[in-house]
Amino acid sequence: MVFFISKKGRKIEIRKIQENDWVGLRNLMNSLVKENAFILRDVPISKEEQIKNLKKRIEDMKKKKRVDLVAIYNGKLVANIYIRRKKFKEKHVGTLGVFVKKNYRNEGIGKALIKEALKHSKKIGIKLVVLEVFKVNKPAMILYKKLGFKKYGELPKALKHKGRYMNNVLMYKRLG
Amino acid sequence: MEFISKKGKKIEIREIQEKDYLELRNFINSLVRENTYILKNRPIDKEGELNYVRRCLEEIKRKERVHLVAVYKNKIVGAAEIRRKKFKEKHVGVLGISVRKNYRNEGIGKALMSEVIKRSKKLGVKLVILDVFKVNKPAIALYRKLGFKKYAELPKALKHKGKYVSALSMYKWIG
Repeated sequence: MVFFISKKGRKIEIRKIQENDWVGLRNLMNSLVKENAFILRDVPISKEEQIKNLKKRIEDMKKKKRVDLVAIYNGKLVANIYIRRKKFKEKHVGTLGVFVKKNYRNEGIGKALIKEALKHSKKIGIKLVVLEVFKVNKPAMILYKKLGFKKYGELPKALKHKGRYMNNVLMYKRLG
Repeated sequence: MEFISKKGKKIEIREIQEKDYLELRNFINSLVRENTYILKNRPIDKEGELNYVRRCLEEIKRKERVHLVAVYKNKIVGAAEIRRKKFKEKHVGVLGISVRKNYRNEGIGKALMSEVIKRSKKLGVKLVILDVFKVNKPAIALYRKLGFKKYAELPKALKHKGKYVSALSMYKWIG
């Protein structure tokens, strides 16, 4: 568990996911779905689905197949990050996803989460972290670049967002 | 459907069925043993393969997957699948294809790919993507011939025979 003070002066706790986080995680995901943020999901997640999903994630975390952290402010779950390890000949590769609640962006929470998750994933033997980002999501891309991610590809019309096809940018970062 | 390979073999291409699981396992494990350009690096057991095939059949029912096998004299000599992604990527299908060792370079892969793409289009797939080992030149040449273009290259994406090798990602718009 670590604490840090965000740019807006909020004291944020970063810790591993726990079984009772399903409420907070579901609120976070469904708030992003409602906002139609730059995430893949476009239908809300049900309670049952979320509970099952979280259980699996905790099991995978124990098996060192993933890193999964949340950011908590005043008891409220405001962000989540995961790095999921691939299988077989890609066992050294982890796929990253990060989600920050609307009114908690641009204050360094995503950055702190990514840094922490990279540290954890290095410890479990991940050597290469990859991610995909909506090409129109400039703030995210700037952040990833700042943290050392490099673009390695771009897929045209990879996503349908708000009725339009848009590109996805693929980025990677090598760990130690 | 049936077609005659370049070497004159009469090959049947059809959807997978539950009873294929043992023959499919033989096929996959032959590729694992060969340590060819596939991701899997350990054999699968009977139970694992049956579960896998059952999951595939469920996805096929939900129109999230097309999965074909090439059969020659009751033996599975090739397989191709396209798995449709979810949510905002619902129009994207991820293609995987493999052909048994002594059945390569006779057009079976090409026939499988054309057929699986045709069928995925009917499900609403508009963009087909695939990953390929950069060192697998024959495969890349085939994909290019079929209209695939490179959109990404990830250095050291794979560990194959003790060495890190790059992966290429390719796409074809079929919408």
